[in-house]
Amino acid sequence: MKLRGPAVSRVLGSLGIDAPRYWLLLDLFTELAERREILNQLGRDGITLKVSSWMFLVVGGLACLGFLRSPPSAATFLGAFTLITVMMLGCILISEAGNSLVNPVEGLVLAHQPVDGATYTAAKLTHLARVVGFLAPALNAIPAFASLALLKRPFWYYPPLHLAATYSAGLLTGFFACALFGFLLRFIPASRLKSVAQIVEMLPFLAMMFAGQIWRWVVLRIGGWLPAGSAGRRYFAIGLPVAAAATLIMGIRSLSADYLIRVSNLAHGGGGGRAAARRSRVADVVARWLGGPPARAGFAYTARLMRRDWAFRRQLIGILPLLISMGVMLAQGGTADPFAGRFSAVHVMPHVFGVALFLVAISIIHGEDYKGAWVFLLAPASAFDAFARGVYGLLWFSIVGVPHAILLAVLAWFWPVSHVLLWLAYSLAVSSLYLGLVLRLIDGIPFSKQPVTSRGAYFMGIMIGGGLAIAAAVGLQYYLVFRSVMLAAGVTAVLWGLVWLVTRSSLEAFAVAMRFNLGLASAETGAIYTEVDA
Amino acid sequence: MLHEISFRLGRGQIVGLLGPNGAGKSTTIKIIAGIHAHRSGRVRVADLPLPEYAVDVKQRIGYVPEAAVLFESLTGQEFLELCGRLHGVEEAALQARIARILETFGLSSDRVMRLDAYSKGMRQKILIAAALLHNPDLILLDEPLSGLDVNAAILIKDLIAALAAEGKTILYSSHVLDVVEKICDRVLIIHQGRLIADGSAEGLKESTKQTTLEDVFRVLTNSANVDPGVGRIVSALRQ
Repeated sequence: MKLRGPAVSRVLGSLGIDAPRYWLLLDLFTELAERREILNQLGRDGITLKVSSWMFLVVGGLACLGFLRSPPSAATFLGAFTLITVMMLGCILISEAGNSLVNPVEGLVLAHQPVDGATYTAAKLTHLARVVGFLAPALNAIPAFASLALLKRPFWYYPPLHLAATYSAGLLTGFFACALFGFLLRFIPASRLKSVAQIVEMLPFLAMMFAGQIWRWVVLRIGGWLPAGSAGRRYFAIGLPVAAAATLIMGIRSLSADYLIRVSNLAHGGGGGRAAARRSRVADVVARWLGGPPARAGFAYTARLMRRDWAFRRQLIGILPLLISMGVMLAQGGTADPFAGRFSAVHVMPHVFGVALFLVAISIIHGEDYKGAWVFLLAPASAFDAFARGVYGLLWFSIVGVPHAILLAVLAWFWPVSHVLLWLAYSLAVSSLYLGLVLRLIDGIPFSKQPVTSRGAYFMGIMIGGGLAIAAAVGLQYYLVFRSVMLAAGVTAVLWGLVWLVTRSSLEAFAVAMRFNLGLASAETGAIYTEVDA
Repeated sequence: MLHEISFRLGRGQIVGLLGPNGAGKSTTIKIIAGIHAHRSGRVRVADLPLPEYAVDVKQRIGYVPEAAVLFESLTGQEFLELCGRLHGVEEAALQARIARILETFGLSSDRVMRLDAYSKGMRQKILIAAALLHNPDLILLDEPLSGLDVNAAILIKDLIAALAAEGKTILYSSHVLDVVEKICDRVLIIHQGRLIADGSAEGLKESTKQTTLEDVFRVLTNSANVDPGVGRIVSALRQ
C-alpha cells in the first residue's frame, strides 16, 4: 500500500483529515525543521535528532547496568524502562508541544489558509510521532536486546514487545502533552496562555525533582482512599485508563476546533496588551549613580524585557526548579548557623546565585523581538559604558540584592545578628563575584539575538568546570572559612576587593561586546589611528 | 471592539476601508477572513456563514495581512507553492501563475532566495502574489502598498482595478486617502469600532460639504483640529 496513495487518503478522510493538505503540512514542518526555522518547535532537525538518539542510546545502556546485580522479572524490567521513557520524553515533549502548539507565528501564516483544525492537529501529532520514533527506540534498543541476558526468565519475543510497549508509552506521553495544551488553548484566555504554558513546561522538571515525595503521596494517600477488596481495585484499574483515554481525546479534540484562530490571536493578545506605567525608584538611583540616562535605559530596558520576553522566560524555566528546591532545602533545616560546624544548604546558597546568574547571562542575549535591536545602532557609542552599568545594576539588584534582603529578614530569626551580617556580606561578595564573571558571557546587547537551541555543547565545558569549581569552593568554605569568624571576615574583605577588580574589567568588556556586536566597533577604529600631517 | 457594523460588498466592487489607528479596520478584515472570532452578529461570505464554514470561506478569499509574517527559511517560490497547494491549485496552473506573477513583480531572479533575505517591498509582493494565486472571489487587502516602490504601487493599483473588472470583490484598507479616493468605488469609514460613513467618495464629500476625502475623514473622525496637538509636541520638545 502506497503511503500517500488513495487507500491511506480514504482512511484519513474517514477521520475527518484532509489528506492532500495533511501531507503538505507534514512536508512543510519537516522542511522548516531541517532548515532550523522552527527549532525547538517539534523542529528537531535530522542531525539534532540523530545526536539526541545517540545520547539516549548511551543512557539506555547505562540504565541496564542497574539490573546487573539481581536479574529482574520481565514486568519489573519493562515497567522501569517504560517509566524512564515517559519521564525523559515527558521533559522534551511537553516543552516541544508547547512551543509547537502555542506558536503565534505559524498561526499568523497559516490561519487564513483553508486548513481545518483536525488536519493541522493530525500533521502536528504525526510530526511529534516522528520525534518519538527516533528517541523512544534509541533509549530502549540496548535494554530490549540486553534483556535476553539480564532477565530472570528471558523469552524470545521480549525485545519486540519491549520496543513496542515503550514506543507506545512515548507516543502516549506526546499525545498527553498535546492534549494538555489543547485544554489550555480552550480554557485559558490568550493574554494568559503564554505564561501558563511556561509554568506547564516546568512541571516535568519539578516532577522529576520531587519524584520520591510524589510517589509516597500517591501510594500512601491515594492508595488509602481506594476501596478495599480486589473487586474495587479492579474497577479502579479499569476506570483509570478509561478516564485517561477520555481526557486524551477531549484534549486533542480541543486542538482540532478553531485552533489556528486561537493561536493567531495570541500574537495580538499575548502580553495582555497593557503594562503598568510606573516610575522605578531603583532606576532613579541607578541613573543617579551609574551613569545618567543611558544607565537608566540599560536598567529599564533589561528589566522590562526580562519580565515580558517569552523566549527569555522559557529559557529560565530551568532555574525555577533549582530555586524551588533551594527553598525546600532551606525550609528543611537549611537555616542552621554556618558557624555551627555542620554542613547545611546555607553553604551552597551563594553558589546557587552563581548558577542562576550564569543561566541568566547565557540566556539574556536572546530575545523574541531581537529585530528591534536596530535602535541601538542610533545610540552614540559612548552611551554603552553607562548602559552596561545599568544592565549590571539591574542584575545585581534583582538576582543578588533583593534575595539577600529577604534572607536577612528570614535568617535574623535563627542566627546571631553578627553571624547573619557576616554570612550575608560573604554571600553578597560571592554572588557579586559570580555576576562580575558571568557578565563576560553576555556577548552583546541583551535580547538582541535570535534564540537558538544548540548552545548546550558550547557551554558544556563551562558548566562542568564551573560545577567542579563550585564543589571546591563549597568544600573550602565549609572546612576552612566558616570555622572562624575572623577568617570569614578576612576572606569576605578579600572577596570584595576581587569583586571590585573583576566587575570593573567585566563592565568594560561588556560595553565593548555590545559595541562590537552592533558593528559600531568598526566605526570607532578611527580612534586607534592618529593621522599625522606630513 | 466593533459595534453595530453592517455592510454588504457587491461583486466587482472596490471598497475602501478607512479609519484612524485602532479604529477596527484590521479586526473587521480578519473577521471576514475567518481568522478572528466574532462574539455576536453575523458574517457571511458568498452566502457561507462564519465561523461555521471558515475553511470554505478561506478557499474563496485572498488576504494580504498588515504584517508580513512569513516562513523565513522558505524561498519565495516555495512559499507561493505552499500557499497555492494549500488552496488546491492544480500543479501546472500553479507553476504557470507563480512564474507569471513573479515575472510581473520583477522577482523572477529572486525566487530561489530565502525570504529572510527579501526586502520589505519584496516580501509585500510575495504576500500579494500568495493572496492571488488561487484566483479568489473576494480579496482582502490590509495596507497592501506598504513598503512598495512607486512602480510597484502603480502596478498594484492597476491590478486592483483589473481584478474588479473581472468581477472580483476587493476590500481595501489603507491610511493613504489619495489612493482610496482614486481607486475605490465606495468608502467605509470606521471610528472607535463603529461604521460612521458608507458611500462613494464623491457622495461623502457632498454630504459633508468638503472638497477632499482627507477633509471628510478629518471632519467625521473629529481630527479636524490637529493643530493644538502639533503645538503641544513642539512645545514639549523645547522643554
